[in-house]
Amino acid sequence: MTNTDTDQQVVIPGDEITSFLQKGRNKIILGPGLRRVANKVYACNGGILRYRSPNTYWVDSHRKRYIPERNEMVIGIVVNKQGDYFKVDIGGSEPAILSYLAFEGATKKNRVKLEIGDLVYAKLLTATRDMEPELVCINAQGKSHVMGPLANDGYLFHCSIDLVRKMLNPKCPFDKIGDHFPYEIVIGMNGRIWLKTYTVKSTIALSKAILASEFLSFSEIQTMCDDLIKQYANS
Amino acid sequence: MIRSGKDGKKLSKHLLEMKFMKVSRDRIQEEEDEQNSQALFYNQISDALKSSSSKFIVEPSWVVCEGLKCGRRSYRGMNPVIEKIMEMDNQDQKVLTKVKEEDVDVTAEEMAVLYKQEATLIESTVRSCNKRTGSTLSPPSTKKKFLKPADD
Repeated sequence: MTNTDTDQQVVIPGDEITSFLQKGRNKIILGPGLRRVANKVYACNGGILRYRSPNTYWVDSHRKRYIPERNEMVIGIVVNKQGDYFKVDIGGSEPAILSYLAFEGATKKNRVKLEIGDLVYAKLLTATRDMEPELVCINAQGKSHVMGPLANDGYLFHCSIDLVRKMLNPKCPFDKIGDHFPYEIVIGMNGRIWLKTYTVKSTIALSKAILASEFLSFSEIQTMCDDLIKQYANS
Repeated sequence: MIRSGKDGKKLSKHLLEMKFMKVSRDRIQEEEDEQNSQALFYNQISDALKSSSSKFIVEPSWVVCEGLKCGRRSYRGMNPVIEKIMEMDNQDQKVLTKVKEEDVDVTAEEMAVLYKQEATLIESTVRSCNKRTGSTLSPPSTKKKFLKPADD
């Protein structure tokens, strides 16, 4: 089978998919839902086998539970302060730790002000199945970039991991709303979305629109956004 | 301490002990440590692990696989700091793609046009040459003899 055939190929856990993969000496990237056993590749999640040029394969599956992975950006809720660390709930099996020094410009004397219940947008530095995940709010250059504590005047809501992936997809037309609405959005890979607009009405409208996108295709999202923009202009 | 250098040659113990050889000394030490550790664990690696080394790279995150965007965005002045970062990232992206496009000095289209021009030019010159000499395109068949230089 050619690679284009892998699109729409439904797999269930245990299916051997080695025959769908590229032949040749090139290295192949196996994404989530795929597992290698010796020289064979098996699906370990049910879903649709996807391929992205040049050499990436993964299983597109429905997921609501967040499994922390290294380098993912997540929204965490501070649940505890323990000496040098904050305990942060990121929706995984156990809370992550966030050092109070892992913020831009933070020193032992100049601490970041974070209270229990505050939100942080952070990156997962380590995520292994045997240890608690570790978060940081700075990149390799020591800059906060887009990370850091989130303001208290936003609205946080939860959604499935699929929806997050859909919203973060470069082809997603939802961004077009930004040309008409002033808003700020933070999308965490752990299925949490933080939204901030000037009015309660637009916050509700946008959050409903995002949640409604869950089972829509990109073209349907486009029409929904156009409707929303029209209604906003009329009101 | 006598170790092999990059080209397989060995440096003498006394030379390595000199002050200015610190970098080489450190490198050689590092290489030696690595060799030792490899030798230590080599028999613990199963044959399957050695042979099936790595045709596959496992990437457990969707972010890399699907090429997902940065999750924080701001529009129309809601958070100017974020908008500035977004703009800078966009510019970086543009520069990157531009660099990729400009990686070749002459694009394929330009090359095709150039070849066409060149071909007609060569054709016309050859034709004019042939007209002048009255010869065909075939190369001269006479083989040149080696001329021995005269002895002085």
